[in-house]
Amino acid sequence: MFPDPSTSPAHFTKALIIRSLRVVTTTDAEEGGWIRGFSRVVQLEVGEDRQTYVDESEVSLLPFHGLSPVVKHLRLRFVVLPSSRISDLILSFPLLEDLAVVAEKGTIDNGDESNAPPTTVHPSGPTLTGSLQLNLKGGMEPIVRRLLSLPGGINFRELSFPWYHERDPSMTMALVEKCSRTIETLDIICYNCTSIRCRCPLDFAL
Amino acid sequence: MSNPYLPPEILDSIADHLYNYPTALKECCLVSKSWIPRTRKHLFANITFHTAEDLLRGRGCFQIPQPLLRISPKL
Repeated sequence: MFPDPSTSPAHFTKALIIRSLRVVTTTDAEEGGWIRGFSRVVQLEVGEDRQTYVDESEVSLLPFHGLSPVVKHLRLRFVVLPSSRISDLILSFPLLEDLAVVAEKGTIDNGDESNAPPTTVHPSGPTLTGSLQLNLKGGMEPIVRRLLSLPGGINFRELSFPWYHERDPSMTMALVEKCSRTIETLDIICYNCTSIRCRCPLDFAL
Repeated sequence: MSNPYLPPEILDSIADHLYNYPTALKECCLVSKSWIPRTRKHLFANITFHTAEDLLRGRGCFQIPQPLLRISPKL
């Protein structure tokens, strides 16, 4: 334990990667908790390598809400993604630019929540002006629906997705439409066909 | 004979050049207390907890002591 927070290792950390989310509790994020020390993190990656959950609440993203006001790059990496409350996590980082979400097997999704607005209302969401990478073997729809409903909108310049699910093309179209003012690059890997790469505005026809 | 003086910018520059050499940075920490913050900036720039065991072992290092919070509540 470092008695002076300004000399703690956490004070100097710019990139924090946690691959075992299940052992992080809300107590860790309370006053004096170890997470609170990482207040200058710019790049955050959280995930869980375990493959099964009893329910989604077993893995909580809540301790990371507002971890650092300067987070610009967020990566969520799961075997099975607990998709609800992801919107709230995104909204808790006002300077967030880049987002990557990876689920190696699938997504646990609460059907009622997936169509509902975020539970916490934030006055100003992030601008999300960087890159969006989704690699979701269970399909993009649960995450895309949440992204499309963010109150501040999305303004990504780069979109990158492998298509695994039959609904992925339509979800891609929705994202492209939403980012039509800002999009510069669109990378798609379709495992049932050849790769598609579009660099706007040279070729924008899918 | 007085101790040689190097401007802090030069010391910072030395540490910055060693950003990718953790062993050298750790040795720099032994030079004097003034070297510790400038080397920690690089040594702890990236922290990864690969496993649950890593996290359970390491998180105690990052807790903010409660007495300090009472003395300096703004922290």
